[in-house]
Amino acid sequence: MTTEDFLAELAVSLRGPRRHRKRLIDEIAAHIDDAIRAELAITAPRMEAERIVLRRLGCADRIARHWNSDRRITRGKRRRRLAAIPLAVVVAGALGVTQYAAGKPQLPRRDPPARTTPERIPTHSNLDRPRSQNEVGPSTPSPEDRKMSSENETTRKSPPPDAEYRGPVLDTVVGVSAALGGIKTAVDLYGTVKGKKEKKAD
Amino acid sequence: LSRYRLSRVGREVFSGHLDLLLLSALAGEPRHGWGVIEHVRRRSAGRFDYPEGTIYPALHRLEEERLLRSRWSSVDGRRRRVYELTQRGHRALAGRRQEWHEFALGITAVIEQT
Repeated sequence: MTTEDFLAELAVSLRGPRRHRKRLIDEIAAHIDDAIRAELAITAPRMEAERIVLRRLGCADRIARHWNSDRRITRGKRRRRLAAIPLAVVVAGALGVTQYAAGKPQLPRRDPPARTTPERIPTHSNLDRPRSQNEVGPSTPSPEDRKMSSENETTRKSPPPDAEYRGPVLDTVVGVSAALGGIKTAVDLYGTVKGKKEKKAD
Repeated sequence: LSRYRLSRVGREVFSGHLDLLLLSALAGEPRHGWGVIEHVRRRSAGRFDYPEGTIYPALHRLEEERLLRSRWSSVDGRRRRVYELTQRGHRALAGRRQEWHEFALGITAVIEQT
């Protein structure tokens, strides 16, 4: 077998991107060149030196098997890493949305205001004028009205945010942690199963 | 048959520690593939029996793992791919050396007892 035959056989068996395959072939061609020079410096004639060098290099099929196996492993690692990126983005987005929704202050329900007779805006003319008996509604609120109004104000105030939001936020954090743990376990399991399959294939 | 078996064991042991040997060979200075093989052969006094071609896929894998980096370089007017350790590679080498010493100490302690 000549160097050209060996390199051609190797090129056929290799898998992976063309650029990487070409680089490997170039490196092995350079190795053969160096090794033949070293052999020629000792004793052997060219043909014999080439034969010795190719024998030491190992068969093309064996080199290709090592190469293809390593490519599969690194490709699997890269795929898992790439798959984790959109997953992390989705989870982070979901976490953000949930937290936003949980932390958003909920407006207290307000009943439509009771229809009351609008107060008269005091003007110079009606201030000076004495109030008649026919006029409806007091111009100033009575003490009872003031009390009721202050009670309404108290009930309308929103509750303190801590008491309202702690539950949903904690729930979200626990849920997302559990989801991440599940995803990690699934990815690890997938890697283990795939690694076993590749070992079997080798 | 026994000769065949010895050779097989030798190869398996070698390939199990190939990464450590390659990282160690490149720790001192950058080398191209042939230089790495020559360095290992010289330092080990030719004790290892392995197909030299399998070094190259391993070098590529270590580069993918960012333990090595490489570049084309001209050596005596010929184009060669030269490899060198990265910072990460130096750290990995230190860790694997430590593991190896622990392993060797353990094995030695056991086999010399008997």
